[in-house]
Amino acid sequence: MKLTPLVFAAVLLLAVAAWAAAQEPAPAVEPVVVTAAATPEEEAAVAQLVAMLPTIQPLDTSCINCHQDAELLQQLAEEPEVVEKLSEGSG
Amino acid sequence: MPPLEVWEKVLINADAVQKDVHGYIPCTQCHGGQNVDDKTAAHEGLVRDPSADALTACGSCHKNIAPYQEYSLHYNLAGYDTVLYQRSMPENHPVIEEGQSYHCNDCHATCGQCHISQPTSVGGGLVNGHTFTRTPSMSRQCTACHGSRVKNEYTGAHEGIPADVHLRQARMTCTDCHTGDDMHGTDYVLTGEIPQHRYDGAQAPACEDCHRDDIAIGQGNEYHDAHGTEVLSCQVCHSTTYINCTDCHLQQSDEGVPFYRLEHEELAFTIGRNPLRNSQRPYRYVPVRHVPTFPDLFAFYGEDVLSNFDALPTWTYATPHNIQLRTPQTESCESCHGNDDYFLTPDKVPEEFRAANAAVIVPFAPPLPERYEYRPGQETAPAGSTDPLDAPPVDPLDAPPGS
Repeated sequence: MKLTPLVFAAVLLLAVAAWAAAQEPAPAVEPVVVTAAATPEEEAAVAQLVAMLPTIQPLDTSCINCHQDAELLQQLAEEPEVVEKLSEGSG
Repeated sequence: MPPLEVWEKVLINADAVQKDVHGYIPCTQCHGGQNVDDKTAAHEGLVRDPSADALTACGSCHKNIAPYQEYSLHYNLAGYDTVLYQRSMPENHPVIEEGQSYHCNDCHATCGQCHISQPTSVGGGLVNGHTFTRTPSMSRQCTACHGSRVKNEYTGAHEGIPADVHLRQARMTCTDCHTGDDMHGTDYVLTGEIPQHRYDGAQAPACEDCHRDDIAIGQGNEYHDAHGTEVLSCQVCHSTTYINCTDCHLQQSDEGVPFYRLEHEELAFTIGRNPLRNSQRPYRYVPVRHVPTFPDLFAFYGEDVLSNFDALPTWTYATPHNIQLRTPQTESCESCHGNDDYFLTPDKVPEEFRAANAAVIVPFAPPLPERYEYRPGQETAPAGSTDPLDAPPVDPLDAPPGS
């Protein structure tokens, strides 16, 4: 039977998993010590990360530009045909 | 609710929209049309209310709600079908559906009609510049549809009748009692049952959700102790006069404009036998409201459409939205006991509707129990009096037919 790359990868993963299971347990992780206020370097790093977040931009600018312009909408508005109210009594 | 100008209905608040997570979604992804400057071209293929197909418009994110919208009575209007089909026969159902398409279907609420715009039935229009609001506006969404009964009762619009205590004293809005689960049809996940009527299943909301300690027996309220928790629904004592409508006719003008004509409406408070008595609503007596049904309701669309009219009462189980601590009923025992005025006695029902209302008619007002001398509220019992709970009560609902 010809081994496909996928089967080969699966066999490799199994072998690595078996090897990892046989190792000594890792030493306990050192507890994180919460220090005082962030350093200027840390704050700068956070600011850099925040700046990388995507900002919401109007994706359909033509739609947005028209529908946020009250004057333009009033100019373009088409008054619907007025239908006489015929119903009588509470709805 | 003030009417909106045509242009106001589609005016968006771009700043607010873009601060919302929905601002990541291009307009055309939900609404179709095109992102171009020409008005006609931009609106070609426009979908006015994308959430009419909740699964497509909202389902990719709101996976815990959108798939159940079809079970929501606000969306599927199954409550109308349930009662109209019961009053009819299967061969007439298509005629009813035709009538509903002209007179009822505008009332069904999509996601957007509660969270973005005013409902279509009141002309639509963005509520807050196309921002998505988690909690619907009581005035511009909930009571825009539920106006003539709920709104007028809850806000005290009927002259001489105060607003509901939950509004007057606690400023509670609709959603303080009526939760999203009740509205969205998601209760189906818990119960496995698809509601067919608004009074299907457990009471939601139930008064005891908040007032459990107040209504428990033995908590010092002698009226509650005397009546227990399964004889009267809370509204029998704590709601008051509400609107009743009769004789509604659905029609169309010569130009094909659908309209209705309600012949008669009146304010009244009426106690009847509970037509929906079950483990969830065990009460023997409940307020009953006359609904705007009539044998000829669909006469414009077909002959004898409601051929099984007597299958359901015209006075129906009611939960009026004008709750008060003290009402005319709570003034004294004799307000109700022995007083036919408050009860749906046979004389109040026209002969031709007695068969339909057999399940709710009360033969006569319950008299005070014999030897009833000690009244709740008196500081001391008169000498020689007995506890009313010891006296066998006379319940007209136990009386033999014809008595």
